Amino acid sequence: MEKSVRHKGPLFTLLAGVVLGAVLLSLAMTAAARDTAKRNAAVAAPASPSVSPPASAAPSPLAAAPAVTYAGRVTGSHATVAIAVHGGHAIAYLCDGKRIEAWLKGTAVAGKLALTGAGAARLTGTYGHLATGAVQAGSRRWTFAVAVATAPSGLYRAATKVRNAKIVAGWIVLADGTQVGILTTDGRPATAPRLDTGSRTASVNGTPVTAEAVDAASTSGF
Amino acid sequence: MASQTDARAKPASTGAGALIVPAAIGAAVALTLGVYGRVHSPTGIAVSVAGFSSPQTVKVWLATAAIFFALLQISSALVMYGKVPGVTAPRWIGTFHRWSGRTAFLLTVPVLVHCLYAFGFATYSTRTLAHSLLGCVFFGVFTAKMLSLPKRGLPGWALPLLGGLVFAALVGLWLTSAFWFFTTSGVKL
Repeated sequence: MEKSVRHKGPLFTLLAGVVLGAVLLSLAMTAAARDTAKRNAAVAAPASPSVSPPASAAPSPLAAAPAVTYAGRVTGSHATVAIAVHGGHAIAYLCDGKRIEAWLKGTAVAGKLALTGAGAARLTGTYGHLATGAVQAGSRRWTFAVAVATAPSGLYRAATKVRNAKIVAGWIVLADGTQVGILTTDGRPATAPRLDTGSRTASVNGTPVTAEAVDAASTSGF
Repeated sequence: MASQTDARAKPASTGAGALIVPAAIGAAVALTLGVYGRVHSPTGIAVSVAGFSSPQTVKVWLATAAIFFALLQISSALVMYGKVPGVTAPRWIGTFHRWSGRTAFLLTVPVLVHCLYAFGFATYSTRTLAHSLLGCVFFGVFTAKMLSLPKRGLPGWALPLLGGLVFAALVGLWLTSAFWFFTTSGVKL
């Protein structure tokens, strides 16, 4: 009896862990599915009726539009996208935190996004409570449905010179505090150092570099 | 790769050879978790627990509780092996060791699920890369240890080594997550 318990005890421990994990995973999946449904409902309602008709009635409702930044992960990948929309203009940044990045610029008019960037990068989609659409960079294409980001999450950019090297860095900060960023030094991309969102500084090879929160009004360096 | 080859070799019934199958299964567990975390797209969403301000704080405190039980693990193991001078192992020490270990392990499971499902295998900083790797290692080595426990005739170093690795991995996990959280966000519920 004692012997068989000693034999099976560790297996029961493992089994208990697997069962607990499976239960929690299914609960998490249910929660995620519910959240997706809620988000889709939120998007379907306001995006079409309230944004489109006034736009077609009056061709310049841009000035009244508030600045808003969307940020989140693209579908089925670790890469992130952030889109800053303000007064008819939009700036977007696609970043996987390793090699892939693209800065894009364009218009946000009547609920529609149309942005382009270097190397035939392209982003098209809609915006409302969510920004949804597709972004293409290089030979790859991602789709996305990302929510509004509130500070300190959002999009940050730094462009300066550190010890005679031209550096450009972009960070997308997600709601959970996750940062995805790339630092390009003289054209070579690498994972960006952590950005302190409070002081908006990051240390690049020991030199503090100041980043600015990107909204569509900021055009420096583009 | 190496573990697959090892798994095909005929395991010896005694000695270090008996560790081959548990080690291979443990390696498979670690790989599976890592690959799942990498290919699955993180949702950022999981179940939240009442009484805590965010899923992150739940994880931080679960991990901290797990560390507490892991410390009981390492000290009860030292007592069992007679490594604490002047302390003779009481009769209940084995039971105590087993149940504190089970508790520590079960506390880590919700953290694992949330990390894998909501965040995935992350590599964007040294901290997250180390944390992701240690997470896979922890559950792999833990599986290997559980599967090794019932084996007869293991070399004397086998269980202390596996147990030590599990403990070290857990401490590393805690340092790269909960400790980091406490130092950046402060100690809060």
